[in-house]
Amino acid sequence: MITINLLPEEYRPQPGITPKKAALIASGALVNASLLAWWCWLSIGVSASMSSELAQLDEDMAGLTPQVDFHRGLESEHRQYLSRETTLDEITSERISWTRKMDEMVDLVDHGSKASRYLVWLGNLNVSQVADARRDAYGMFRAEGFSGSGNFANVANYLEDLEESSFAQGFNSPAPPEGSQSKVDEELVPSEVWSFPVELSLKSPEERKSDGTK
Amino acid sequence: MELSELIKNKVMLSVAVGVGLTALLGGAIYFESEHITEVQLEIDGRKAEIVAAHSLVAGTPDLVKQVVVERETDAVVAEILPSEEDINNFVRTLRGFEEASGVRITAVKKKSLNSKEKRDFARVVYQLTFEGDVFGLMGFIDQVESDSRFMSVPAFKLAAAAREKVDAEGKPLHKVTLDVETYVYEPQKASDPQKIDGYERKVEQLAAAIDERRARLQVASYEYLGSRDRRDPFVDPRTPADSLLGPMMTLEEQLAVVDGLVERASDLQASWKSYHELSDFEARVQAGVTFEKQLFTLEEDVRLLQVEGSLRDLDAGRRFREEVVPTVADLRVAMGESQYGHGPALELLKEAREVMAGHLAVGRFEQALAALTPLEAGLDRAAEDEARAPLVAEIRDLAFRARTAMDFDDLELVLGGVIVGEHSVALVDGKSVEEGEMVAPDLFVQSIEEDRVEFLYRGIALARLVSQ
Repeated sequence: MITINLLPEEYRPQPGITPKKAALIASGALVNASLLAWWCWLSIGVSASMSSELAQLDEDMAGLTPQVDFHRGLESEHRQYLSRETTLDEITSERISWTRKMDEMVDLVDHGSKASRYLVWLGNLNVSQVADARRDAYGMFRAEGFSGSGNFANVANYLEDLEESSFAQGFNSPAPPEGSQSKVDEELVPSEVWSFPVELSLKSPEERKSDGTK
Repeated sequence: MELSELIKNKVMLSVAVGVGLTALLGGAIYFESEHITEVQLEIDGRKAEIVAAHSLVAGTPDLVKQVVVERETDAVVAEILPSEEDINNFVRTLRGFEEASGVRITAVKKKSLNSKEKRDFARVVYQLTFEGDVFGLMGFIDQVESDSRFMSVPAFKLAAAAREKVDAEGKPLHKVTLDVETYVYEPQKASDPQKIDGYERKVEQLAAAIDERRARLQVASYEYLGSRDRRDPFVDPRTPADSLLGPMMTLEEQLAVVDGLVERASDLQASWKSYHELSDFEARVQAGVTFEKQLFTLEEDVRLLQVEGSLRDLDAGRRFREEVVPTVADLRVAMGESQYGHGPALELLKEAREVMAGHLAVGRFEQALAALTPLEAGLDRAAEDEARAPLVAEIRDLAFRARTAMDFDDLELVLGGVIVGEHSVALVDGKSVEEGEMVAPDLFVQSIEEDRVEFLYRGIALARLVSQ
């Protein structure tokens, strides 16, 4: 049987919410309520607590900042002193005491004649100290040597003593003995003289340091 | 029509609102989570900064100490490498070196340099030209190298004086060209020093570290002791052949004479040593007199050789100058000014006086006179010296007392007995004598006591005990 409701629309009874719809609305409301609770927990609980922790840390850092600035200032001052001292060390460590070297040379020549091993004297002298690591050149001690004797072995004696003396410290070994006999002068005793070169090249500053050259 | 139906459908509307709300809340949660992540990162960063700051600040006390030490020793650096204003003083200093070393500067020139700067330090090089012997050169370099301002000699040349010029001028004047290098301290822009609390107190606490660093910064220098009678190695040392001829001593004779003098000087040194080791005064005086005589003779021989200039050979001359002359001079200084030929020395007289007085005080008259014996011969000459005359007089007085006492002991006096009272009487050699009475020439009774009689013998009071 077919029933027809002839009442106008506004007078007809409204259909009720079905259980299915009610369940849908309730679950939607529950989800939203959960989301709202989560958001509240995040913004009021977690976020506020973290902001407070950050503020505390900022405060701690603010307390430390003057100390850190003081430390940095001291570090900067210390670096300046350190740099100056390093430079000073570089400058001073490169110096060779030529007083010592010349004193040792005078001793050597003097002792040789006292011990009658040789009678040696020097002519023009040229000493230079340079720093040219590329050419492996650090300076030279160059002099004209004279031996008052007809015996060339005396030159060898002198060069041997020279090589073994403290003077030679910091220098590379001298070249093997070579020389030529000068004109004989009968007005002087001894009359015969051998002339020979005295040439020694300086070692590098590092080698001199490890040698203990002063 | 369908839309209006839909709107009218409240259920659908609720669903739509619910979905919208869900989306809104989801978005809010998402953004909040993002914010929280950012804050967390910030917190982590801040924590790391704080840990780093704590770690940094923990090292501050040590750094403060270092900086205090460095500040306090910066003056040493400033002294070693002074500032630009001191460069004029540097030139004045060179002038001082010239005077101290005995060279003669003939030119001073500032050298232009290729850039070889050392950060805070600018290099300055002066080239000097001067004349002098090798010891003058060494003295000059020594002055340069041992100055409190850091200087070095990177190069020098020496043109040896010709033999003829050395003979003509009497001393070698080599021509020397020498570079003197120094650095001027030009500090680059530096930050302001930090204020350190309790700075003065910290300086006091760190005094040892400051001293240690100061010592470390000082540049060591070589101790140059001068020529020490060594020959200038830039002078031809050969002896002119003609100086070895003629009436002068031969080479062998010169060497033999010097050998003899060296031996005598050496013997005298040994005598001087053993003289000091003698504890017995008489023996020491005897040794001293002998030593003085030998030293005097040696001095005479040395003087004679110097005046005559007999030692022409360089080796003989050098040995004479180095091994004889200084030894004799040292011995003379040790011995004191010569008294030989002028009587005993002042110190010897003083010692003799003390020894004699000591012997006399305990009645050792013979020993007192023995102490005088070695000096006696020179006493008259010593008495002529104003400084020594009072001592000679004292010594002679002591000797007189000793002799008088010995003579008094030799007198045969027999003391029979004494009566002590208002007028005391003594029985001497069988005769009764009172105080003040003469017993024999130069012998008077001075006082009479119960156990002794005191005599005045040659003006000196001496006593004899009364035999019981």
